[in-house]
Amino acid sequence: MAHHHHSENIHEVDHEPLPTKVYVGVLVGLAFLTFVTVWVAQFDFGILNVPIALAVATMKASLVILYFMNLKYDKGFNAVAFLAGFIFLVVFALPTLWDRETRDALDPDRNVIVHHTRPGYPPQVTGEKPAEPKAEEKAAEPVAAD
Amino acid sequence: MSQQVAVADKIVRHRVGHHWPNAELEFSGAKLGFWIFLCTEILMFGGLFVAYTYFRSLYPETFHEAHKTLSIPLGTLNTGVLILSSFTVVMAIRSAMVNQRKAMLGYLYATLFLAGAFMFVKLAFEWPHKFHMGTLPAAFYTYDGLSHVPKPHIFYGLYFVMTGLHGIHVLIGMGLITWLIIQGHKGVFYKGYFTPLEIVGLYWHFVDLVWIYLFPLFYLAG
Repeated sequence: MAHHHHSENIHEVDHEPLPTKVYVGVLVGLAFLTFVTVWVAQFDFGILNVPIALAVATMKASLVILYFMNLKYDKGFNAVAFLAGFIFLVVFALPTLWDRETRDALDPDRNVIVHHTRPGYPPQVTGEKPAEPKAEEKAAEPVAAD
Repeated sequence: MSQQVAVADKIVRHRVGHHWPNAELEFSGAKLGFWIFLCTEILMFGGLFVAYTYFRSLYPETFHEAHKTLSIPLGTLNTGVLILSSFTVVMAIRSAMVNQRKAMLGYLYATLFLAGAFMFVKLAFEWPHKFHMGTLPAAFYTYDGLSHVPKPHIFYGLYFVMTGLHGIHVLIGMGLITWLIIQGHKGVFYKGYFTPLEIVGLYWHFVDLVWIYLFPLFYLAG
């Protein structure tokens, strides 16, 4: 809480709570955003479906973090400690997905193609210079059956 | 070894630990420690969210088809239940901060009830339905309604591991809230001391946060 009254009593804290109406407001906001995300899910926005759902979820998460967890009025270092987790998560997620997206790319140093025939399994290095795939092979991109 | 002195109004007045100079530092030190713990919790759940993203990018059509087998009404109900329980937790803390012990206990009981309701929906409705249908992880998968998409068992593997780990957190939270209720009845929490309420509150809001992301990713976004 922002207001700390320092008394001679070292054994007890003296913090002023937020008014109840703030918490009620956040509750109403969370309920409304839940309604929005469920309502909007019935429409198909193609590749935007997930970004829209995550945007609403992040709005809800911000309300919870700032007001219910009180991070808005808390010591700044607590925010640093918590938000560092999200930065570490980005460091983990981005290179992993970068790898995922470039699995089929040519490795120019070794002049080989690093690809997967079974997605998610260890990559195979053919050692061969990749041949241009035939037109029908391109068309019939596998749905990776077992 | 009593660090606490009972007074007439049944409030047990707090005495700071001998290793703290005053209550303010004791309070903020405990909170910093817990925020760092929550950072590690982000990383634990984060690994699973990265796995979700990875497999979703490999099999988008599987995730699209399989997510239709989850019940949006039940998922929405549980979302509402958890959001309401986050509200009752902050109100319990607030009640302690204004010395309203009965209200604090009422809100804690309400939180415990809502947490139990969440697990009841999961364990009595959602999971048994999946066991019945065979929409299960790995080799336990026996459902034949998704044979037109590759590897649907991976979706259910992620579903059970992620909502399962979340459910374990809910059960641990119920244990912690029960402990708060017991301590609350003893008169431990009041305006001058409510650190355990504050810490368990942070934990409970984090459990809510995880569900805020699990719900759209599994139930809604196809």
